[in-house]
Amino acid sequence: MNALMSINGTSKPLVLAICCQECGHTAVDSSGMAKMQYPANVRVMKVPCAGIVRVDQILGAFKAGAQAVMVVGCKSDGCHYEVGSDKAEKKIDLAKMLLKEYGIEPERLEMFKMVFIEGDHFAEAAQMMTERVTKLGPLKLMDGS
Amino acid sequence: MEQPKIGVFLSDCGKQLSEILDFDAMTNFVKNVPNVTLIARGSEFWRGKGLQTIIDSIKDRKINRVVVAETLPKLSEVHIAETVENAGLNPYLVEVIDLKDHCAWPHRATPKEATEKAKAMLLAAIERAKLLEPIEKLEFPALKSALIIGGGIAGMQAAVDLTDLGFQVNLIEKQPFLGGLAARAGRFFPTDDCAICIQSPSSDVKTITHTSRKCVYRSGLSELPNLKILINSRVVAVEGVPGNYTVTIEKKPRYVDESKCIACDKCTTVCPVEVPDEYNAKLKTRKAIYMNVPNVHPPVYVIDESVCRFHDCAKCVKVCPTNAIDLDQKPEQVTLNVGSVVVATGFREFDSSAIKEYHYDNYPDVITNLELARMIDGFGPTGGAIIRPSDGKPAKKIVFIQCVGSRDRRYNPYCSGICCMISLKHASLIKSAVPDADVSICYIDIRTTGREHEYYYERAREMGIKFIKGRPTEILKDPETGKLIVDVEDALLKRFLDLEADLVVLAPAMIPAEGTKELAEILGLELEADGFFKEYNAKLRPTETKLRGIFLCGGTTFPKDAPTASLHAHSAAMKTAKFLTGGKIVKDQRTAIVNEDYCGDCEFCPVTCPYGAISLEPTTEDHFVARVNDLLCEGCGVCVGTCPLNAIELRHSRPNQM
Repeated sequence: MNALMSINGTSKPLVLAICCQECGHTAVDSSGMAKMQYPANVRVMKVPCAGIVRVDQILGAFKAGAQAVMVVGCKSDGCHYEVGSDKAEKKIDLAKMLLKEYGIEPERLEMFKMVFIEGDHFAEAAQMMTERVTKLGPLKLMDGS
Repeated sequence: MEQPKIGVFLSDCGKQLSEILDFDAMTNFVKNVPNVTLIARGSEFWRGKGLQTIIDSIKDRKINRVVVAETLPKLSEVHIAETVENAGLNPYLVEVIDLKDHCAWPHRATPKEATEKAKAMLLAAIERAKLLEPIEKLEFPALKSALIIGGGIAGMQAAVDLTDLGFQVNLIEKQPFLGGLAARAGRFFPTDDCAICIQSPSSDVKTITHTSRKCVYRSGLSELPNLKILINSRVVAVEGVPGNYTVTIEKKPRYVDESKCIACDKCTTVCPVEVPDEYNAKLKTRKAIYMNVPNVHPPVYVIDESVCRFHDCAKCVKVCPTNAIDLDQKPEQVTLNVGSVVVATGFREFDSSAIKEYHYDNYPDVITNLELARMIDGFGPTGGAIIRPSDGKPAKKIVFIQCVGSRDRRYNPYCSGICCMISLKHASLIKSAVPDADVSICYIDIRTTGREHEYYYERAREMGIKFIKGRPTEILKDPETGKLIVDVEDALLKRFLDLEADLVVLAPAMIPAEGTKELAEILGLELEADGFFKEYNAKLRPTETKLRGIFLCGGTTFPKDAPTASLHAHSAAMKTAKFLTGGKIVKDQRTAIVNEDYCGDCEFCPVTCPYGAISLEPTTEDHFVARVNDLLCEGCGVCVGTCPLNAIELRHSRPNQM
């Protein structure tokens, strides 16, 4: 799905939001229901739990054309699968280190933790990530990464 | 696998979305995607006519994948999946996306870009639909029986409920008698009714002499046909899966045959051993063969093996008219097969001797609320008289100290919640029995949050009980008179007081019952930082744990008063009944699956799985692979993210499907 998310370009840099189906994805719902605005370049992908995300998938997302990746999970003590959110956070830290090695700004990857009703947080985060990567400019991928 | 034929159903949500999104462009785009055989547009597809369209398309156009762009996907999904299933297609071959909340509404300012995003979302959904696999429903057998650990008020309530609902129930209690902490309380607040009735809690079993629904004394706990009570027992091991646990129980010998004993009291008369009675706060002595209070359940004597001289004496054996005493009983192991486990182990008082300045362990006239409760109880050691344990004289000046070891960062930072009401109850009971008694309560805050509880507090003040806001610094003893002096600063009057007291009553914190940690290990449950069992979600899933099939009730999760504990127990019984009632557990197979060709010998996933669903099993002599238990797996995929070899996938969320 990563690749497909990124096929259609818009004027702004593509941002992939990997959302867990519990709090993350519902936060996207609630931001939509409340008619909060964020740029259309933010593409949402649903996973069962943030803990399922693997580092190679995050790197794959960049390869597929995402300029930034945000992982949205539940709050640590409210993770619907006990440990998923914390595991994801650790993996994000690891992925950030890897990105640095690859010459990609680690700021392009961020973990967010929110609960269902925090649709405004999602909209803000999406806006923030878009602005951040607009400032950083297009992603420079080294060959073979 | 058959060629996917995808039907795409686009809902414009009553023309709301077509104002923003360009539906014609989207339709044209989708038309050209391979494998799409049908595109339908409408205003809604999750009820009424819309659903009929989906059914017709499946039947007439033979589509085998359904992609629906619908609002409220989390609600509409349910209806659509159900419909698709009725039309003969596996419900997991459906992909529902939300073009309204995820695309149109948040991007209404940029309709062109929103349409592009909608296209991407549709394409993603179609590509995912192509790769979806049917998911089967699995059925697991569930035994219609339960084990309840702990015979206090909560455990007994749950046991009676489940028995009444037709389940086979095993109630086990560590102590030789049922009743737990609540039975020792004597009276309950705020009604001051007797606590003894909890030893035979509400059941619709009626005896000839008893018909009232309110008073539950003698309501026939022991007469319930499907209730097996195991006294003096503890859980040693629990194995198996939800619906079918094998529990090993160790039963300590009672040395008295429960079926023969007629509670005639002859044995205690001849027993030569006398020891302080722990149950009654050591205010009187008991024999080596004893019963806590006259009306306990089971109404059978027990021999205290730590003090009995057994065959060196054996006087009780000779005198027993029914030959009920058997000094050669051995501990036995009982194995039970149950469908689910309810934990009702409750809580206990914090050991106040840890707080040196209150001298609980060396001043006999410093007692705890529970010990005072035994004194106030008419069945108790003093027959209801309030005395000084040091000399047995009536106590007139009584000082209560609240929050002993609770709301105290040195010991337990939390508020136990019920101790204020307990002290108010005791103070009022003393004051009404002995009107000239001088009763003071030293408190930090008085917390009376329940129904009628505030009136109870008000009444206590009207009775003349003194309230002093302040935590006493020390309890001193006058060396000449032997009287106790409580040093306290009254924070409201801003002055230091030396309160003279015959009796000082501590209100200790309530902490988890003994053995809570060990039991949590046996059951595989988590504890909170304060040591109590962790409830899955106190708001939406009270009494449940992260493991299906194991439930918690009463004081196991936090200190509770008797009504709340009862309520909690009823909830746990209800949950257990719901879990077991069908005789089977139905679950879809959206679970993790291990590719055993890649999996090799590491221990990442079994350690990571929050539900203990993954086990390592040997395939050859020195090669282990992980196996997932479909019943325990909750389908979160944390193991997938952990596997260093990418050997685990989650059905319905495989990497290529994402």
